[in-house]
Amino acid sequence: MQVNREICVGCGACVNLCPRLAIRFIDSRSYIDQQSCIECGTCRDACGVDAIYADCRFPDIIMLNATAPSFLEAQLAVCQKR
Amino acid sequence: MKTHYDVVVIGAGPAGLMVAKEMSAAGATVLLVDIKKEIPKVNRSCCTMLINEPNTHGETVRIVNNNLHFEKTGFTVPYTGKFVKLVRSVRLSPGGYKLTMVNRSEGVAHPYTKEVILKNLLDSAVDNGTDVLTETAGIKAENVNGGVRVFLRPACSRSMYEVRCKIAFAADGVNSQIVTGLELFKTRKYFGSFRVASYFLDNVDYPYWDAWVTCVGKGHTRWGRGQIYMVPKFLPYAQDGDRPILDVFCGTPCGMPAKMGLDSFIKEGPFREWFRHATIVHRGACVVNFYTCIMNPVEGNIVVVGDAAAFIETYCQAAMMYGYRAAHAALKVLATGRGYEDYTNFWRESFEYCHPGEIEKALQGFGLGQLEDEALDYIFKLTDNEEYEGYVSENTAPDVMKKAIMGHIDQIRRERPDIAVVIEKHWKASAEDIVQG
Repeated sequence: MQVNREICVGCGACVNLCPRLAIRFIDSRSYIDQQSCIECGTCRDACGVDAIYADCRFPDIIMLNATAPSFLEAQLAVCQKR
Repeated sequence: MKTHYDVVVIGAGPAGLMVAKEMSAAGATVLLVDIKKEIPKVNRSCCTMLINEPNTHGETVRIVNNNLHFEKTGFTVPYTGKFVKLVRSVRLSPGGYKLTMVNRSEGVAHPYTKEVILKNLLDSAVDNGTDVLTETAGIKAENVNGGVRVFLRPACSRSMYEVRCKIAFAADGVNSQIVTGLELFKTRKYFGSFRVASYFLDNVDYPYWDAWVTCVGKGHTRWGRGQIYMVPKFLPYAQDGDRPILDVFCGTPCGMPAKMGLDSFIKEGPFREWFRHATIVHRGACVVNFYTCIMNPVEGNIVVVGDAAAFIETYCQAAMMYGYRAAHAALKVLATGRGYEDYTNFWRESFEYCHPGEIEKALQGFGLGQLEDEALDYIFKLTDNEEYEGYVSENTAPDVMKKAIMGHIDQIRRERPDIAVVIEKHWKASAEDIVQG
């Protein structure tokens, strides 16, 4: 995942949600440490202003991500089934 | 900076700063840690920076000499900014009809500027000798013999380092990293997640400058999901003669970014005329994970305060109040070895969401989600010219709303029996239904 730091408003929402603690708060904007990021998309789903996007760092994984529902939608689908 | 402290506070919001200020005033050595560079700067969307109705979260706050005076706990927080007095709480349907709650003498709420509060608290904490570590994340806290190990990581470093203390405070907010690492986290039930985006707008041509406005219904945005709020407030360090700006929020359960809902509301919503000449002066966002409250917010010597322990949030005022109470309980522990019950018992009694049924009640106040816009317009047309005694707080407003609508239920049954059925069902809906709905 990457952050567009022009769009990021610096709310810090993604920082505490990252399961790999890969997101830092630098100069009041989010910054994703690419060596820790596992491209799970949790931060992208959390971002209220859509500043986070996937880039093609691991092409295979991105292909999968592009077709799979986002994390929250998948979770919601499970809840609704129950 | 030392490696051993009496107290480490993770998170410098209203709760954490209050703890740091009170503990350091009493002579304890305190380390305050926050991920931000400038602690008083608020980029998160926040709609709880207001003086709420009497008895919210067990406390009544009044404005005394422009400061915030906490009547029941008995302390004052210095405030040098401006207040907006809101006398109405308005729920708007997409057709522009409304349900209004008023309190003209006392006001339904007084929004203040959180930045000013945070700056004043930070200044007093630093004056009292608190060490402040900015751009540092609190990663984990664990109880060890005779104290707590707190793991910290600076924003630009790969390594963590450890600080020892006697008592640690987790005050890192609604998505607390520290709380996730505690055993008591397992007692919490997850409801869902909300994304929020907000704009501070200037030059809004707006009829509700004296009101807290909640937009109810699907027709406010193109996607029909989420919730819009509008609150007038002053910018940080507004001068005399400055006019308040309008803080417009959009919260949405999932599926689309909150910003899209917000943009849609402003550019193509039913009230777009208000925003034709508006300019955005500030943008904010946040994400809120809904978990049930932590009923016993102390694990060993790790104390959880403010939003970190709450269902969604405490109001800023209550975060300060719980911070104050937790700090004084902790001072008692430092002196005598016990005393956390002062804080935990008070938390359980006073924080409404700890009581059974309160979460359902508050969520029902979010609106009549199951109704179509046409039905909402019909109901709100009935209450359009009426005023009900009430406040903003989600703990009492649902009852007023229920009373207002049920006051017309005979007429609704007669004219629109289909709507009457949905209304009666709504007050029995579970919290999950409402969050997912």
